[in-house]
Amino acid sequence: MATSHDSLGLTAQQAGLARCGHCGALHRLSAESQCRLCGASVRSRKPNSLQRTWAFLIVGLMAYIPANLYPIMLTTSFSGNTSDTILSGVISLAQSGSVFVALVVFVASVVIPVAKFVIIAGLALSLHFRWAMSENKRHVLHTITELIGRWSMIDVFVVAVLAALIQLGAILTIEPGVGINAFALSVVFTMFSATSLDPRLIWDGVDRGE
Amino acid sequence: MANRAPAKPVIERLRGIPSRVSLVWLLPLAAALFALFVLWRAYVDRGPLIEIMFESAGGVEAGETRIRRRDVNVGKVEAVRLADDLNSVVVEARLDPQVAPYIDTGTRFWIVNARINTTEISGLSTLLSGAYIEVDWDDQPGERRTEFVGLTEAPLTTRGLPGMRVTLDAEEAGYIYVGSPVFLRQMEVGRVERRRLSEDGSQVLFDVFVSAPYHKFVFPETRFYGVSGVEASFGAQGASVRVESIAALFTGGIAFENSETSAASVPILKDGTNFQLYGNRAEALDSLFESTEDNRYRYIAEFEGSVKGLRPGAPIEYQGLRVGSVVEVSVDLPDSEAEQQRVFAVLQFQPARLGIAEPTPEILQATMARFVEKGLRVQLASGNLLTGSLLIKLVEKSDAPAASIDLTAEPYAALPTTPSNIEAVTADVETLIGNLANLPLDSLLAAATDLLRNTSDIVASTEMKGLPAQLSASLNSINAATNDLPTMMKALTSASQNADDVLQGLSPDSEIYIELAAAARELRVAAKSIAAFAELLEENPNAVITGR
Repeated sequence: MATSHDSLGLTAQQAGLARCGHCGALHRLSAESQCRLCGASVRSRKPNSLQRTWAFLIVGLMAYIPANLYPIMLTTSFSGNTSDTILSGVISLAQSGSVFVALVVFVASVVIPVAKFVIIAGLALSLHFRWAMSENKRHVLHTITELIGRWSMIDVFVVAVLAALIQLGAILTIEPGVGINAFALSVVFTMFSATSLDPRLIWDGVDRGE
Repeated sequence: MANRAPAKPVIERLRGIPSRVSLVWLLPLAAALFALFVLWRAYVDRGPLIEIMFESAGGVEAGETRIRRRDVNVGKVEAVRLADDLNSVVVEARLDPQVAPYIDTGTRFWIVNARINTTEISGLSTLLSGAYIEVDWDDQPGERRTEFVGLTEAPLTTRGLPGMRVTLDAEEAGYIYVGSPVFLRQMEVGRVERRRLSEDGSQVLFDVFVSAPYHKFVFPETRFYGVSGVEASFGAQGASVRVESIAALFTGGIAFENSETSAASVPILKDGTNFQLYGNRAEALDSLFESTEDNRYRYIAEFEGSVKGLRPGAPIEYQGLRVGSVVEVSVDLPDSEAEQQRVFAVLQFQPARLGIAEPTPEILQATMARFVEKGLRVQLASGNLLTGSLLIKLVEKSDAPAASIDLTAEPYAALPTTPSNIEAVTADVETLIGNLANLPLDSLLAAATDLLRNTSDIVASTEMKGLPAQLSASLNSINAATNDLPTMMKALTSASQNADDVLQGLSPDSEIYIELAAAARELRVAAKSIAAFAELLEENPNAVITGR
């Protein structure tokens, strides 16, 4: 770790400096301070970053269970009522020939969330136990989770749009199921979790997560 | 670039206790509590799980199909699977805890689908919503049960509906089906709920529900009879036609009726009474005379010769009034040469109809004996010439040889008989036939035969045989001619055109001009009529043969 720090030089924290997270103004570091420009609190690192990350991640995981167990979409039509969970929807899409759409839904609502859980948990663990991993790679992983996280909301939008558009009374009606609420909550909380994780901790190397 | 050091931020406050534990942990805690609460409530709120056996799942789907009572959801099907023996379907359903106490042995389940048949159109809403399972229970909480056998068909009446259930025994099922209406004075007052064979297969049993308040019109003496729309019967009283209701015209039904005497009787009002179901109204009314259970008022009458046309149920008339009916017509073949064969009818009398107020067998017998002494005889009479049915008449023949009631006869005492005047009628008929025989039928027949022979000669002649061929040949040529017609018209038209052309080169005064003009006119007329003919042929090809 020391080597990487040497090559990178001093961190702002080591130099006793901090940047306002809101407006970017540079301040001298003190225990607790307010930005003289915008009044936002100035901190060298996000407070309780790892704790927040874990907390949000756990809520996200908890929400992901009912999201998969309960139907996300209720279809009422002539031929009867069908309710689809995420996976049954993917399977029925694939069976009806729309392999591409099935793939998109599968990636958006299964692969991405699960990948996010794994990556965030891995990052948090690596920070906590100071695993020997390439900081660069970890940073890239963190950026990816922040970027792709929002795409999981595609599923929520699909259901929302369908439910809003397809209201044909007895002929065909689509209603959102309980599962989609849980899924949206799960996505939101994993996004919180990803943003709570302060990437600068990766470079600190000595930070205790405080 | 300023080299100035960054400004020192304003120190607002120092954090007193550095928080080791973030407040954000409240969030997963709350989520966990919420999840636990949901689980706990789901566990507490869930009702009993029951299993219902059906012959077929009939549109029931796991997780979809509701269990309903009076159109209110009271449960949901959780699983549908085949029974272990693979011969039936087991539906697992979760019921609401609120209704759980009523799910006892009296509970019935059946699948509601769209039903369209002659007696009802129902469940159309299930076409859109899918089938559901209807449940019916009585209003008394009972011992809980978890396994049920579903009904194959919806019961027509639900539990707790006021009314009465009776069972009717019939010889044949006839046109009466489950759901057939029950009439009282042509008012619908009930329904047939079930139709089954008795255990020994000798009778058809109908379980009938008579709804309140009409069930109080069912007395022990009430007669039930089948109605099958139009009821036409030929009996000794002639032909009769009766229509109970238009609905029953298609489905059949059951009607019941009370005699005047039953007004004094006590209504039954409780389930389970058995009644005889008579085939039709006449039989039911006749049965009022039969009172089959009381055979003390029975006599027999022996007849000589045929009793063809005398059937059980035939009336016994005295001075035109009905006083009883025939129960049985039997024959006793002789056991030995000495005995004679006996043909006899068992007569059931209604003492009340004979003016005996408080009848006992002794009083009836005394009355009968007195009458017989005066000359009362039993006679066969023709009830209906058309159908040949017979009835029994009690006639007074003062000049008849003295006779008395034969008390030794078996199985009942025998009344003396007198030869009927049917023989006279028969004689008349014979005369009629004789007259018919005397008609000059022979010569008529001969003439007819001649005519037929001549006709067949004509038909058989070679000319006639050639006729069809000729006809088809002429039809063919007509066809050919028709095909040629357009060409002919064209030719005619062009001819008339030519004539016109020729005319133009001639002096109008010359003779040849006049003649040619006439020819041209005729050509036009010919062309026109051919056109008309062609049109006619197209519209009506028969015109060639039949003319216009």
